[in-house]
Amino acid sequence: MDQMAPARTYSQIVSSQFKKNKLAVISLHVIYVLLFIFIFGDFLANDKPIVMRYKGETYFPVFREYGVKLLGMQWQDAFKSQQFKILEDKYEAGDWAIYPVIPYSSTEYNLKVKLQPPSMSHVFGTDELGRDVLSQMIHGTRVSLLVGFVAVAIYLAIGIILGALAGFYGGIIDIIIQRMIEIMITFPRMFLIITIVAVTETQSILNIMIILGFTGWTGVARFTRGEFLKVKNEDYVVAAKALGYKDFRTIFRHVLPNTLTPVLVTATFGVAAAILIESGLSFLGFGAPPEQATWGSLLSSARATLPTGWWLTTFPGLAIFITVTVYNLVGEGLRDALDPRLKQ
Amino acid sequence: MWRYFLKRILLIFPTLLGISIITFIIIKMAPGDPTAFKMGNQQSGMSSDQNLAKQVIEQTREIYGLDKPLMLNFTIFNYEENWEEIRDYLKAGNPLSGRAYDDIVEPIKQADEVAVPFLVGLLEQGDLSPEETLVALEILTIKQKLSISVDMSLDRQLEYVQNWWYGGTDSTGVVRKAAEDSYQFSGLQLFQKIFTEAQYPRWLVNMMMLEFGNSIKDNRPVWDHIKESVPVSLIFTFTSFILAYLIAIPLGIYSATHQYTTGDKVTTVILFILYSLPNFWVATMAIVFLGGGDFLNIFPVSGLHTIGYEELGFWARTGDLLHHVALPLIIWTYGSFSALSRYMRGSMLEVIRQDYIRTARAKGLSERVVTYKHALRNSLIPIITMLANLLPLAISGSIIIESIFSIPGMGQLSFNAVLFRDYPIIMAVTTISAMLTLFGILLSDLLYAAVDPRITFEEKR
Amino acid sequence: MKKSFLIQFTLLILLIMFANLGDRSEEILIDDELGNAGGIRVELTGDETVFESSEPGLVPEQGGTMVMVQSAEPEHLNSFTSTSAAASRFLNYIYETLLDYDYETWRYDRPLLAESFEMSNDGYTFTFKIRENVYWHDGQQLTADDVLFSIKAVLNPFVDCAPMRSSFSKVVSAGTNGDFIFHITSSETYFRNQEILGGFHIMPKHIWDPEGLLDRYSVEDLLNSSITREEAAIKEFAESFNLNPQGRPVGEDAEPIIGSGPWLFDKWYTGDYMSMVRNDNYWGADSTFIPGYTEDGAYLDKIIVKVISDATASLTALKAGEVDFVPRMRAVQYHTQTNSADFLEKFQKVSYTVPAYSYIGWNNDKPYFSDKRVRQAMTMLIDREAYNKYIAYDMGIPTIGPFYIYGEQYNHNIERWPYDPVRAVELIEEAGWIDHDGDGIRDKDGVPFNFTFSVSSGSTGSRYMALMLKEDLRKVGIVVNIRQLEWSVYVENLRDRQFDVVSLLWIGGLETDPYQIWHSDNIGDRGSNYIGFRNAEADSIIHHARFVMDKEKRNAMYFRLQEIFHDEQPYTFMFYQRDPGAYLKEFHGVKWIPIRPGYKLYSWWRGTSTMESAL
Repeated sequence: MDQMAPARTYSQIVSSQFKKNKLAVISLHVIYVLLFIFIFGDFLANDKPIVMRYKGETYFPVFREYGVKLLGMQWQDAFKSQQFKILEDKYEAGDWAIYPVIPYSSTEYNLKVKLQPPSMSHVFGTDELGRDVLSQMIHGTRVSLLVGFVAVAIYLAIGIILGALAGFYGGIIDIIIQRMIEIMITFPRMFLIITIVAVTETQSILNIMIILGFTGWTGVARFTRGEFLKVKNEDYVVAAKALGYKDFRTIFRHVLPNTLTPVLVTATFGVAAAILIESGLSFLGFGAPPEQATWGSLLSSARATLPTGWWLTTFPGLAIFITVTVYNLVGEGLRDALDPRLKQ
Repeated sequence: MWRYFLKRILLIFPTLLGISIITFIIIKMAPGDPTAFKMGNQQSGMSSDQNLAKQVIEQTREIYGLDKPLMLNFTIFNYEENWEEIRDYLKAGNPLSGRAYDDIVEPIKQADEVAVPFLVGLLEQGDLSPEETLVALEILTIKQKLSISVDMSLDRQLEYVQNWWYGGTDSTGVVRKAAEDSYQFSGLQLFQKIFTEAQYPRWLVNMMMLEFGNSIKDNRPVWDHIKESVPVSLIFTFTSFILAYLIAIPLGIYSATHQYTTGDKVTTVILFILYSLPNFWVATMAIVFLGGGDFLNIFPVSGLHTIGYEELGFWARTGDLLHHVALPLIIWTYGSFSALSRYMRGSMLEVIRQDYIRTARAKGLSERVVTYKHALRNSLIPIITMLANLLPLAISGSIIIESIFSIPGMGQLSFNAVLFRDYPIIMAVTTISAMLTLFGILLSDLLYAAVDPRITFEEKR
Repeated sequence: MKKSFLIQFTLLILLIMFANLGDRSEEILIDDELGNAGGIRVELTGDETVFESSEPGLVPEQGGTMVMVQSAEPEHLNSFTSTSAAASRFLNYIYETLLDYDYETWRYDRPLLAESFEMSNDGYTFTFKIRENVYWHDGQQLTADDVLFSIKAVLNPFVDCAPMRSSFSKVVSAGTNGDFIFHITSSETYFRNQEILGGFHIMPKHIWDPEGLLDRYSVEDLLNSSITREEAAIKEFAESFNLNPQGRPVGEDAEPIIGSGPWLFDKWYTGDYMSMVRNDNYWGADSTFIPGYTEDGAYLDKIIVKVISDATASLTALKAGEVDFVPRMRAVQYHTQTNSADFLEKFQKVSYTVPAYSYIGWNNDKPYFSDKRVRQAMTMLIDREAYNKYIAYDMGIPTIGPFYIYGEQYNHNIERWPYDPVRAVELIEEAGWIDHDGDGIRDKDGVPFNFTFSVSSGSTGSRYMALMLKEDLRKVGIVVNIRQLEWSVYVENLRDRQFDVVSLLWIGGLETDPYQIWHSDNIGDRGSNYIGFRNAEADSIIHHARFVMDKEKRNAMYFRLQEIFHDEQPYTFMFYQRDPGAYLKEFHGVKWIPIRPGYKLYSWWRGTSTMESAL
């Protein structure tokens, strides 16, 4: 596979390199599926119908729910209590409803079916409150992925900027930023998390993402700084300086793009790590709020029921491990594809 | 080069100072304080007068110096203004209890002894409103530990203060010394109090003498706690570190030399799978299935020793320890293989593609010699510098594994300290680990310079 | 690439749809799995106060070791400055008190270290005659001086035992008369005085104050701040007392704790275990004056208390034979993980009640809960029966008020509020909480019915409670937010009254005084009436009952008090909890009592051969 095609862009090369790695490609597809669940979770598992005909009119309760939550709309009078399953008793002739494939919400409990092994009605079984495990996992996907994305986005932003500044300017700026990095590395992260969780009025997974973001940037910063130090004396940077370009422009237009690609690889691994950290925090009780199902919280609350409730630990455990593995494999594939020296 | 390292060593101190200040502020900012645990669940108590619950907390806070200001104590100069604030607060008809009240009274309490003559003076003038009198009396009672109780009438309370301040005979006819004289402070004393009557400076002075104080939870010296826990954690961190290196490096080399073969892919996937398994999950599974519950009985599930191990001989003791350590150690280690072997693989691949390796190959050296003699040596350089990470490992533990397996190591110590708000332990652990990390970073730079002749620090600009 | 994605997606959808083909309404009742999972249930009623769960009538034999589990380790073993239950549970075998419970009448009047005692006619002074045959574990004789020293140590304002000291805040004087007479005077004739003034651990003076620092001061001196502030010796004593190595005898060569009780301190390895051995020279061992179940038993040679913090690990350790007795396990473990034939053959399961009840506290000063109708409605909206059955595995005993359900203070004539959501909604609407603005959430005077349920992060039970309440109240137009807080923040919010709803446990005694928790004096200033219960009649009953020494009359007043509680519903009283446990069947003489922790190991003995029990 030597350079035959005349005008292949960089991204084409990378993508063709990437496709050679079967595992990474499969993993990428798993990520697509996860993204699909991430986006359409409410339509996959919900106790509200997607479409329903009630007393001669057609309603879209799942869509309405978005309206209520995001746009300040209100429920129709008939649905004030949002108990669509009980409404079924009031159906007139010609009324019908189409439910999502898993007709349970993640919070809907039914004590009578608590701790049921997987069955036709509850594919992945039920937990100690009789909630559907699969539905909780689908809604947990959103949290787990979000934690990864947001945390990594934050720490990339901070890490790249500080690393770039330190590497490019050197001197006193470098010294200060290096001290910041050292302070951050030695910082008691656990305490910061407890502090933030305790100080904020409403417990939210957003806090965890922000803390992970604000404490995780040191690696990226050190890396970017190193890359900048390497690149700083190369011809094109010296040329840019000689041409009188502003520092800002030099950094962002010329140096940064060259260091960005390896950083992206770190990001993929970072997402995987963040998902694991979230599950550990949930285990210690500092994760998402109780009503918010996450894979980690499912796992940790299931510990008590072992070995009877095997389904409670097996499925969320699998979910974490599949997600983390695929992110890592994609990251690995990307790294190989991006590295010009590894080309064969 | 020596100048460079001297500079680096000197830079460690401001960094440490920064770390300690930030940590101090953050842990104090966190709501909750250790007195919550000191109180226990007190239903059986007999707290018959209003003030008591509060007094109990205040007393406990005072015993541990938690009533002082954080950074510098300037309240000793501002108490008159604070009194004005309290006055405004009371004029607005606000209640004499609750968080807002505590916050507004706090500064004048922090001024402690210095404000006493002023307060006594206020009470003597007698132009205070009833609420103001109550507040002044309360502050004096709590901070100076007067035996005033709410049962006493206001007049009797005032009389008590009078007697206490100027001396006199008490009900039993014994002459008491006047308290007045012990509340005079010179300018120098006041200046000292700015520092000595504040939490952080007190801590800092002690820390410089490597004196971390006593744990709030059990009053034992923090050093004792650390001395007890570090060896336990070291067993795990150190062994797991070595295990990880012993297993991950060969795997990394294998992956690099067999890039894109099935073997490479299989190791990659297996290592990533190991990495992805949350350790608390694996630990629970292991306890349930291997710990002798209803399934296999292979490993003991808690602690580090069998009961009565003290009477065993050396070898039996060691065997017993190994038996207990094995399961947590495996769980401690398995996740770290992947990162390390990936790192090794990357660094090896990089070296293999260097010109001099190609030259070596071109010279007709065998693949084995090239790989193990030339490539390996150079690709180990970054890995060796990571050995500096060993330093902070000495004081780190694993919260999750230690608590599941009831191992009294550093992880449990620091996590419990955080939950208990045991400030001296938290501060000690962070400071020591910060020091070790900083020295670790420095050491790794040194090592790097030592093993790689291309690196110098002279032309640092 | 596109194609494979489509295929995978379709597969996923098919999988989910296929899985969902079954009948949705299928509900399998699992009632059979609940109920009493093969263990002995110990309920200590008024008639039967000590319950034996092992085979009675066997002849006890001395010897044997027992290893029991404890989930937490005490911070240290100084009886006064420690606040952990783990420490007092251990020290209760080593130290003794002047008086103790009579195990038949459950009055606090059985002389222990005191041979006899009397209360002065005015009721203010207690005089104890100390036994003359009591010796400390190191051979020294126990005298009234030790008793006086102990009370002085508690009253020393610099000793770190402020919570304990608060119980003694009414003491005005104390002293000795000769070597064996101790008297103590309180400024109140409080009905619990006997329990408090005769119920503190007596510690050996020659160990804790060898220099006699406190000898120079009288109890009155210690209560006088102008003296305590000036005298360095008082502070010096407190500092050494707070740090005394006797309080933490950790490791191989540590000085053992010297007490006077039927067990001797043996070893303590931090994070691992603590142990004690039988005191063969116990002063009470061969005397016959204590009939029935008391300290003269002590059959086991050695008791080892092992620390295992993880519940899964401790049950596994029991099954693996590493420990013999797990006093508390999770309800789910008791009901689903301890039922194999193997387990039942080897171990005896038991569940026993201790005086601790759970409740949901409504902050009465919040607009939502200021009206008692709303609080009543809340109680009726909580399906306590279902909660007990499914979440607590039937381990709860429903209660209507704060007094111990098997004690004499409990009013059994009051009927519990039923689970009745319909009536509840009527009450809420009566109180004016109607959805005025049509947003689906009830409101009143512009305040939406939207409150926060605070849950302590360790408590699974209250988390489930909150989750159920959130889901149930959503259906009637009330929004519940759940906030999970770690314990120290939880307690701080409680004290500062920064909460809407909490779910907690009160650990009490056989007989309790409602003053601290229910009197309006204790609202604010971090008092224990943090929910802000105010009721003039209740206040007056609580205040007056404290000084009524006649038990009948006092309990009649408390009966009325419970009627007020029932009507006002400041809490939703939930359950007295049974603690489920299990022990190796080799143990006999296993008895359960209605005070914490529910068992005393004096009577336990270990049958060395299993044949014996088979016969």
